[in-house]
Amino acid sequence: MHVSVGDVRLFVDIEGAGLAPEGPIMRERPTLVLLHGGPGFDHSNLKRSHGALADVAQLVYLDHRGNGRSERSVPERWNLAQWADDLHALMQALGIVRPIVLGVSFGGFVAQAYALRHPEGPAKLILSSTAGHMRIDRALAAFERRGGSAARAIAERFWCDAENPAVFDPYFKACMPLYNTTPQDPDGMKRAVMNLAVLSHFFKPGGEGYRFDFLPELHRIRCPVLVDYGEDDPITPPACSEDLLRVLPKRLATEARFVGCGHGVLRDDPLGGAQVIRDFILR
Amino acid sequence: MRVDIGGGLRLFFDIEGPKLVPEGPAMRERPTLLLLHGGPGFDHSHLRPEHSTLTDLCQLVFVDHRGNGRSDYGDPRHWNLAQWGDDLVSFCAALGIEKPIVLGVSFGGFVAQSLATRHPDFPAKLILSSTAGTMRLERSYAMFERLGGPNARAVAERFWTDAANPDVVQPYLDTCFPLYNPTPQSPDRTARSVRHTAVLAHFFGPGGEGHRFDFLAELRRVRCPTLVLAGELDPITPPSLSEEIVAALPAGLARYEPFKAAGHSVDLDDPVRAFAIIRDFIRS
Repeated sequence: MHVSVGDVRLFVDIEGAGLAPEGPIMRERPTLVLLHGGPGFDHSNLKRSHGALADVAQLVYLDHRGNGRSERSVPERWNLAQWADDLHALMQALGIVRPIVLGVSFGGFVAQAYALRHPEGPAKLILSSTAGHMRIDRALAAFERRGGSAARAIAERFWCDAENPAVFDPYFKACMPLYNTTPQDPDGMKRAVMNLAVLSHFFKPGGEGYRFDFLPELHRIRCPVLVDYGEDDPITPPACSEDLLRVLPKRLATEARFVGCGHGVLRDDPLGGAQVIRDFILR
Repeated sequence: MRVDIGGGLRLFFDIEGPKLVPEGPAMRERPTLLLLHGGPGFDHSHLRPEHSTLTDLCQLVFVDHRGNGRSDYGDPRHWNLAQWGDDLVSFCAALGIEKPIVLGVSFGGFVAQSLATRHPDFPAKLILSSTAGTMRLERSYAMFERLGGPNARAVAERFWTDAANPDVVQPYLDTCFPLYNPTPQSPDRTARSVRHTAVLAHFFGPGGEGHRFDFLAELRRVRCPTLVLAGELDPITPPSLSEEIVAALPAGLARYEPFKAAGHSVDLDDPVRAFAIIRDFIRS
């Protein structure tokens, strides 16, 4: 489906019913909105990793503005405030009230922006393998630990020069395999409708990817938050999630740290990762 | 979920099954099945859970018609088949749904015919299940009498000649509803529905559109393959009404599947055969 959020139409797909027949009533199930990473990727890989959660919630996948099957818009509108406001507009357009919002990696940046700009919006937040503020110094050290100095050098080239198309391929080949501790489906990247222009825009030198910092603001969050992350994540290392947990209101935050997992916990521990999310949704 | 289809009127819908599924190196696109409920005055829930079994084959979009269920009621002047048909075009435009397969049960089949005759290029396929191109109550009364005796006939006659009178609804639900299907149905199905009897009274009240509509002359405009399902024990839309639809459709488009031991909404009495046929039709 494509739904208008004002100046653009966003691609949306849905898995799992919102109402379930149960004896004499139709039971309302929670809505879980899933925000993909990148930017420049699309929702497709979340279907593989998170589709099993349709047993407890109606899953709403979207491609962010500029990404995947959504309309491109213009680079001036490729920013976290706009992506968050798009989500708010989409919820209004679909009549979805108080969704649970799950963001993986870059999707977690959008989830934080949404919760801060629209505090009445989310019922709960799930911040998966993400950060309140990017720390490339930590990422480079983690790449070096996981892939040696060669991996560090390639990561450094990429993260310092993301506007240069020549840096993508070496990074995808040498560094992406280090994101996870288990071999990933080689078709995963092929299934995604990519738009690397958004990635370049966001992470170019001086881009918003290096400037955004939600850490001083996250004390304003009003809903329960699950922070799940892998110990072996090189790109948003555990210290980034620890930062989130340090600044989020204590009574609202739940930590789920996964030993032996990398970036996107469900890619390395699909059953354990999904169970933690299920428990958080249902409680 | 609810979406604005224009002028601030919001239709309720629910979705089961993804549109795109991961398959090797690609995301495979699956058909969209738009499901139209009966009544009017009931909601989409009576189609569940039976039709949910199609989730492995297509994306299911259940919608409550204007004035029904969880949708906005709007102005009763807009409670008519032309509007209900047009609403679905607006609804699909709002959600970017293109070329859906449209399945209508009973009253939902009237709306499906309105849609397909007013917007012939809109549906990819049509499934008309336990419905009619025009109502013929004399045939319904005869069938009620056959299935439930003269008392059932009398209760049915009282209801269908005076549907705007709230006193006739409950006796009809008590006496005639159980005759709709030879298989006993759980009262939970009716209980699950958000009911809005005013729209039923409006449509089937004396002189209402329910007694006047006639798609038989218009059905020649249909351009897509059409599956017609009918139960031979259906008292309210007896099989001869489906046969009329089949005869009125352009040659070569209709596939007719009568069910010997089924009543109103054949899937309730013979789910195995009904869904095997529906699946085959969606795939073909």
